[in-house]
Amino acid sequence: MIVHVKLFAVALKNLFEKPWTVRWPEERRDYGPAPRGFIVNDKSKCISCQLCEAVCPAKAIKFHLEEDGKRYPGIDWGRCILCGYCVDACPTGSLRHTAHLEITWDSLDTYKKPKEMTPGSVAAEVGDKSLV
Amino acid sequence: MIVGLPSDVLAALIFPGIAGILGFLVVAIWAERKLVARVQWRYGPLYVSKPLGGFLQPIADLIKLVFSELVLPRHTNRLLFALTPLLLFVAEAVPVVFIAVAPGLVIFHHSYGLALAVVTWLLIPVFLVGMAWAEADKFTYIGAVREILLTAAYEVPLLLSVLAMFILYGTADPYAVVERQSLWGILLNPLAFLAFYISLAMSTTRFPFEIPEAEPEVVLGPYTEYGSTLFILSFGANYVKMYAGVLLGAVLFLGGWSPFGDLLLGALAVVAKTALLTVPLLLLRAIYPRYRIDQALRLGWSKLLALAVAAVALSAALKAAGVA
Repeated sequence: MIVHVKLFAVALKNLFEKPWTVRWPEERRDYGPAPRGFIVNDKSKCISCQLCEAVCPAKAIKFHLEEDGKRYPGIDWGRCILCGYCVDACPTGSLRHTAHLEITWDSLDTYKKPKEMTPGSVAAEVGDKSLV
Repeated sequence: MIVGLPSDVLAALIFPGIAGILGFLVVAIWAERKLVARVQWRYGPLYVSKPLGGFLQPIADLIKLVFSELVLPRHTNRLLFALTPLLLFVAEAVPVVFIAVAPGLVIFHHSYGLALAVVTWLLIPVFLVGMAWAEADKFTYIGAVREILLTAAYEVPLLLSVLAMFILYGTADPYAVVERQSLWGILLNPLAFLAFYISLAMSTTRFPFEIPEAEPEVVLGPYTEYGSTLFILSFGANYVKMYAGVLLGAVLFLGGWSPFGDLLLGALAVVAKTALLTVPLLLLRAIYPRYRIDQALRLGWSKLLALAVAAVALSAALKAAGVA
């Protein structure tokens, strides 16, 4: 009998607590100060060593030739697992994580464009922690 | 009398009749989903009518179901297949006819009205089993068998608990029962209330006893084959049964319209008491796991039956002592 009263008491206690559900995109979860978010590349520091490509476990990084005659990494975001190995492997620190975690695009073609890697093009359309 | 209608027509059309039943369907389904969600730290239905807390969600679901395809399997008796959910829905509503919710507000007055309500309530599983039979499906068949077994478990305690109250009040007249409650029935005979409430949960297959339509085991039990409107009728019938049950509970145990003698205020008091009885029933879904059928039967034939017999004895003792 006491067990059943306890069960009801727990249910009533839970009833008046705040839901844990995050109502995305109206609410955003706080991921703390150092999330492994969307990765960007600072071309001025990049030495095209291709270490990031070699270390990538998901084979998400491919190098491509750009107008200045150098090769730069581009990430296939369909493959990237945001593990951060490339950032750790980068000898000059040109690759870095941003705070943007929720990466979504309007079209499937955008995500392969290497231009996405330049820091300036990575800006959230809604909120400050995601690329919607 | 309020809108110029005779009170029995008013009762049939508004409360406890058609509008009450449909309103209860919508509100209870919404409240159930919402309450269970809140217990589980979720929001529950929200996106349809956000300012109302998703209140229009059950109505949206109803509209969606009405417009979905109605499938009548060829191997069934198609007339019975289509007819039995309707019969079930109407049959579940029959006990409401005999229950008074305010002075003068009863659809059909009979001096043994509440006894008739209980009897019609206990006749309903026959329709449910008929429905399951007409569907000609193994899951409905298993569901029907479970329903019969569960009925066997709750029938006697339910009858005994109601009998205890009839003994206490010395009447089954829907008006007299409320007038005799100087003290609410739940305080006079808490054992009877407990037995009645557990039997009610069993009868409406609320959660620890949600055995006939156990989803992981028998899909939806007796309701498996239905879609569209027939699903609304067959599955909604369960909530109609709950409505009849809690109305009866409010009248028998919570003093009906007792603080008020007025038609409108009395009806509102019954609505409030009905809600009070309904909410724990809805919460059960979030609280309990499901019993096996043998566990439910053991409970029904041991503790619950003992409780109901004790309730009758208590009532007899109280009556002999001249309390009521």
